[in-house]
Amino acid sequence: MRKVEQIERWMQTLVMHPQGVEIGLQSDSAQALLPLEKASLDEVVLPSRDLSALERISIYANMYFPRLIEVMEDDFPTVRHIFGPDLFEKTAKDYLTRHPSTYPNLNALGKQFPQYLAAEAQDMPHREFVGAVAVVERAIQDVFDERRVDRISIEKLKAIPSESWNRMQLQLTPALRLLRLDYPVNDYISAVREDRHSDIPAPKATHVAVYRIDYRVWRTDLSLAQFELLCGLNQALSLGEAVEAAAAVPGVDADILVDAVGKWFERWASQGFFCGIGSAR
Amino acid sequence: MANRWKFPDLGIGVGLRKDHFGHILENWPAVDWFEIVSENFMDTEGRPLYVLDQVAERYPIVMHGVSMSIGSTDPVDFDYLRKLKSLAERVDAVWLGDHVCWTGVAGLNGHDLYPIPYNEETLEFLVERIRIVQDFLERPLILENPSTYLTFASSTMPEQVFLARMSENADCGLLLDVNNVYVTCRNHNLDPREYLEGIPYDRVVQIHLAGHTDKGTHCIDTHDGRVIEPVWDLYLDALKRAGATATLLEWDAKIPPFEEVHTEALKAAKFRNTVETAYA
Repeated sequence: MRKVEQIERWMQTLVMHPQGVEIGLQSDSAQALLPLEKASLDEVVLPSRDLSALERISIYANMYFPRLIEVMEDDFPTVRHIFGPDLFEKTAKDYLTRHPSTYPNLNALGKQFPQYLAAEAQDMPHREFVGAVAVVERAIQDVFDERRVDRISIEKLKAIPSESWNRMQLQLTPALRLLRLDYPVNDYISAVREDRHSDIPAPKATHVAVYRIDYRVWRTDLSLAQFELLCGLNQALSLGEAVEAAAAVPGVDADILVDAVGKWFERWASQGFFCGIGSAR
Repeated sequence: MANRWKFPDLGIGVGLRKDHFGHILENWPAVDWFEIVSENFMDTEGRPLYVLDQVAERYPIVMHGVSMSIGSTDPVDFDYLRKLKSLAERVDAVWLGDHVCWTGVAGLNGHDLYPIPYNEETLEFLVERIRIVQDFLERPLILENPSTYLTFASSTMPEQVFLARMSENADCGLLLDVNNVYVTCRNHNLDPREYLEGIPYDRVVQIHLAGHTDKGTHCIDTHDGRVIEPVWDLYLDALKRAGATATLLEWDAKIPPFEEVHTEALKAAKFRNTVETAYA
């Protein structure tokens, strides 16, 4: 290993160590790279007139977690609200230790946070509810950054002859996430954003669409039938097949679905859900 | 003195920041040019890119990245470079650059500008990487002197000497951040005038100005306030050596309204005029 590579890996180990540089210095990974004690740090990093070598490395270390935790706070404001600042900071720090950034920018920093909260986080209150909130807040970030495509207008949908509808395939826009959740989180997130009090709700199967119109991200609750229908379209089923598949799902009222489907498609088209039309063979 | 690539003196620019998107789209302020943090517009096709597309139609754009990690010992990230090149073509970037630093190793990114030892081994390794990147991007890299908070015992030459040799051997450009010169020299008890004397000005394409935080025992490059007088003095010194050079004010934390940032940036005009008058 080149000397510079050794130094970089060693310094990164110290800067990213959750317990700080002094403890990081003693860690197995740091010792394997450069077996140094606090007293011999000057062999690698020189002290300044006012600061020791340890204090100088700590300048970088002291900025590492706070800066990234600030990004996490921006990306997961409702999770932070539920936890409070101290627990959020502790949780985010643990997440960043287990899942350090591997991307050139910060868009993806919290990509694995929902999975982390569900499976790895310790001593977490309201685990299932917080996990559901994190899924929605991460979806908001993903939809914000999604690629641009032209949407299909209501007029274009209406121009399709009714006899073609069953065989029609509608492509969903990439800037749309369909989420199946165990808690009604949408209202709670809105309450937090609007600074209104809201209690943690009781569990309830819920379906949410997160989507983007003109570069703004929106959320809307979906009924089970709506959710299943859109999921069918997302799996490249024709409209007829998607309606049939949704109607067969336990809990879906097939009559209501068939009656309402026209109105739903008008609304979804206005919300920019569709970006392509094809025809099944 | 014009830089050797004849990159234009774009005048006085401001960093394009999301806090100012609304103001810029509504007012199209009389700014000479905008600089973007390249990564803020990569891996997204949301509002930032939509705004950038419109800004790029009206103003010259310079791309200044923070994650090229040119000093990292990891393999060159060609996926990142492909995205960078594509963005540069999209906005018709006048030039693009990053920092003389590493941001992570072993596949990780600490999202900070970490220092490298200034010695022969690093110089050779860095020059090779810069050449690879420049060949891929098909343009010279304009690399900035970072603010540093530590010195490696294995460094064998001053930063300015390293930069001069690096830019010569790799045939790359320099972005001289005079605030970073001030911060680095404060942190290492060095003479900033001596630092400026060592810079090869025919390679300086751009100058950065910014505010920093003085912690007493050291300074941190926080970009969260006005430029202090000693940094303006260094700016004038650099201008006397480089001639009128594209200048940008960075303000990235505690960001005030756009007019305040622009007004602070325009203070550079006084110094630029002095130099243009004296050296015309």
